[in-house]
Amino acid sequence: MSKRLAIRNILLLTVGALTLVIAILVLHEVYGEWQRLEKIESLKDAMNLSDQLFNATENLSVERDIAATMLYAPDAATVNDLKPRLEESRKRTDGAMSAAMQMLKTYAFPELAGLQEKIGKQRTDIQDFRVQIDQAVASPQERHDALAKRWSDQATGLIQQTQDLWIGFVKHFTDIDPVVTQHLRFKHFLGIITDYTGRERALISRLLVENADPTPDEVAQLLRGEGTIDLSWKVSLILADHSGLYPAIASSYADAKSHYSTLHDMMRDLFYVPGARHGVAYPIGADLWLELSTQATESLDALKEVSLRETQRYIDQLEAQARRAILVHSLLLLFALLLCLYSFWIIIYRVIHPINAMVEALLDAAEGKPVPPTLPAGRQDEIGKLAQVLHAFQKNAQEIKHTAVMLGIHTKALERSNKELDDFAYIASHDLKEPLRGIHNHSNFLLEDNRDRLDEESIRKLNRLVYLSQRMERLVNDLLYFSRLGRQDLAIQPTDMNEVIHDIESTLDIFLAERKASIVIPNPLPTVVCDKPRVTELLRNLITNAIKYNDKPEKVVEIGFLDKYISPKGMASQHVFYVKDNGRGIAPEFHEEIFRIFRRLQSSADSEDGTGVGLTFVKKIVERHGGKIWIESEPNEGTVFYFTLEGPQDDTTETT
Amino acid sequence: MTVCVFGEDPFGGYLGPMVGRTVNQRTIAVHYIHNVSEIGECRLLFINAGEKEHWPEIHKNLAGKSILTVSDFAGFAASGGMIEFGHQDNHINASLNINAVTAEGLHVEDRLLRLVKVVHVQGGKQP
Repeated sequence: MSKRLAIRNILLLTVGALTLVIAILVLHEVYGEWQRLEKIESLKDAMNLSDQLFNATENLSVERDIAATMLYAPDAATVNDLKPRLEESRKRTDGAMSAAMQMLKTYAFPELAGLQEKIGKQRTDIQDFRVQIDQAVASPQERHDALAKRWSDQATGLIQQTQDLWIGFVKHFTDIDPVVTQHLRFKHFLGIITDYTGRERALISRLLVENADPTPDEVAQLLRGEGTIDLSWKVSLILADHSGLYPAIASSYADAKSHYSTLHDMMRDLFYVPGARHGVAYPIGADLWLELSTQATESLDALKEVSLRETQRYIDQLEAQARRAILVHSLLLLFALLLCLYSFWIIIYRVIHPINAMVEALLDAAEGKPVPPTLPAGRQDEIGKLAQVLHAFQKNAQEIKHTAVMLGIHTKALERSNKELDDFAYIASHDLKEPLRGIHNHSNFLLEDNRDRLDEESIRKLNRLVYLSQRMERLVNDLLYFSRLGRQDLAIQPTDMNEVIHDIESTLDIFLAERKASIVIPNPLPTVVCDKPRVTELLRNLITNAIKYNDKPEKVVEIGFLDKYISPKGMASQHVFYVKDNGRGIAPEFHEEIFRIFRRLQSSADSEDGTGVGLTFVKKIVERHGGKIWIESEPNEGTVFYFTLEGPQDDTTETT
Repeated sequence: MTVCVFGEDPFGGYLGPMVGRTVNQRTIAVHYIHNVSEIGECRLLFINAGEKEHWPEIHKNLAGKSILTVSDFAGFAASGGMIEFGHQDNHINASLNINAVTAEGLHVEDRLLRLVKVVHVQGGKQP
C-alpha cells in the first residue's frame, strides 16, 4: 500500500516540480520584460527631455548671436530690425530651458545635481544680462564691445553646460537599446552642426556689422567650423542610415542639408573669394545673414523634430513588443499552470484511482470474489485495456474453476469404471477357469474311455478341443495375472539391476545357448527402488522378445542405463533403461499397437507358446512403478525399448 | 521646384550647385529658357535685365500661373514684377510688389517682408 502511495506522490511531486520550474522560468522572463518595459517607458520621457535640452542650447545660441550683433551694431535701423528676432529667440530659449529643468526634476541623477544647480544660477545671470543688453541697445550710437564680449562668454558657458547636462543625461539611456543609442548619437552630431553654425553666425554677423575683413585667425576659424560641420553631416548620415532612421527623415534631412550648403556657398563667396566685397562694403547686411542662418537652423529644427517623432515611434514599437512579450509569457504561464492542474487531475482521477480500483478488484478476484462492474473497461486507453484484460482473466478463472470441477467428476467416474472393469476381468477370468477345466477334463475322459469307438475324425476333433481348452485356460490365466498386476500392491525395495540381469541370464542359459544369443551390459547398471520380481519379469519379457523375434544368426541384446536421454522427437527424460536388439525391427505404425493385450505382430519360432500378453505386462509393470515405456525402431534396424521406473519426479520435460 | 532663367544667365555658374538641393521638400531644378511658351513648368522666373523689352509680353502670359517673378532691372516691380533686386551703397536690396504677389495667390512670410522694401503697385499693371 505504501509503495502505491509513493508512486502517486512521486508522480505528483514530479509534475509539481516541473510546473514550478516552468513557472519560475516564465516569471523570470516576465520580470525581465517588465523591467525592459519600464526602461522603454522611461526612454520616451527621456527623449522628450533630451530634445528640450537640445532646443534650449540651440535657441540660446541664436539669442546670443542676435544680441551680440545688436550690441556691435552702429545704427538704430539694424537694432530695430533685429529686435523682434531677439524677443522670439529669448522666448524660445526660456520655454525650452524651463520645460527641460521641470522634466529633469523627476530624475534623480546625483552626478548631475551640481551641474543643474550651476545652470540654474547662470540662467539668473542671463536674466540680468538681458536687462543690461536692453538698456545698452537703447542707445545704438555707442558700441558695447565689452558687454557683448561678456554676454557672449556667459551665453556660451551656459550653452556648454547645457550640452554637458544633455550628454550626462542621455548616458543613462544608451544601454537600453542599440538603435535608440544610434539615434542619440545622430542627435549629438546635429548638435555639433548647430553649435558651429552658431559660432559662425556670431563671427560673420560681427564682420558684416563692422564691415570688416576677417583676420587670418578668423578665416581659419571659419574654415575649421566649415570642416567640422561638413564632417558632422557625413557622420550623421551614416548613423541615420545604420539605425534605420534615414528613410523616415530623408526629405527633412535633404532640406536642412540644402540650407546649410547654400549658407556655406554664400559664406565662401563673401569671405574666401577675392574681390567679393568689391572693396567697399559687403553686399548683404547682418540682418539678411541672420535670417538665412536662422532659416538653416529652423530646417535643422524640423529635421530634429522629425527624427524625434521617428525615435518616439520606434520606442512605441519597442514598448508594444515588450507588452506583447509580457502578454505572451503571461499566457504561457497560465497555460503551464492549467496544464499542471490538468496533469494532476489525470494522474489522480484517470490513473491512480482506476489502478487502485483494479488492484482492489484483483485482490478480491484472488480470493474468488467477483470483479465489480465499475471498472473502466469502456475506456479506450491503457487503463481501459487493463480493465478489459482483468475482466477476461476473471472470466477465464471461472471457466477453469468449472473445468476443474467437471474434471474431478469425470476422473471419479473413470476410476469407478476402471475398477469395475478390473473387477469384471478378475471375476470373469476366475469364473471361466472352472467350466474350462470341465471341458478339458471331459474331453480327455471321452478320448480315454471311448477311443476304440470313435472314428479318426472324432478323435482329431476331440484332441483339437483339448488343445483349444488348454490355450483358453492359458489366456484366462494371463488375463487373471494381468488383472492382479493392476490390483496388487508393489513390494518396493532397493534392487541391484546388475543382479536382476544376472538372475535372468542364469534362468535363460539354455534358451540363450540354443538361439546363439548373448546379453551385453556395456556399463554397470544402478541400484533402483522397485518391485524386484516384477522388474525381473519386465526385463525377462523384453529379453526373450528381443531374441524370439530376431532373424540374425548372432542375436545380441544390449541392456544399459542413461542418466539423461533426448529422443529424436526432442522429448527429454532422466534415468532411462534401455533394451536394444539387432532384430527385425518394428514399423513405426505398430509402436503403440504392440503394447495392447493379446496382440502379436508376427510369429516366431516360439510363437505357439505365446499368448501376446508379454509387452502388455511390461507396460503395466512400468506404469505401476510410475514410469513410462516407449520404443524406437525401424524395420531391419533393430529395436530399442526405453523405460523409466520413477514417478512424476521423473522430471520429464519437453525440449525444443 | 523649377527655377527658370529667362535670357542669358547672369549668375556665372552660381546656380549650378543649387540643382538637386531641396526647399520645403521640393527639389530645385534650373531651366534656361528663351521663349515665353516655355514658362509653363516654372515656379520662379528670373528675367535677365537684358530681356527687359520682352517683359510686357512675358508678363501677359503669367496671369493666373502663380509664378514668382524676379528680376534686377529698374522698374521691374513697378511694372508688375514681384521681386526686384537692386543695389544701394554696394548693398543688395530688394523691392517686393505685394499686390502682384497676392494677385497670383502667393503668400509672403512676415520675416521676408522685414528684409525687403514693400511697394504697392495696383494690379501689377504695365507702366
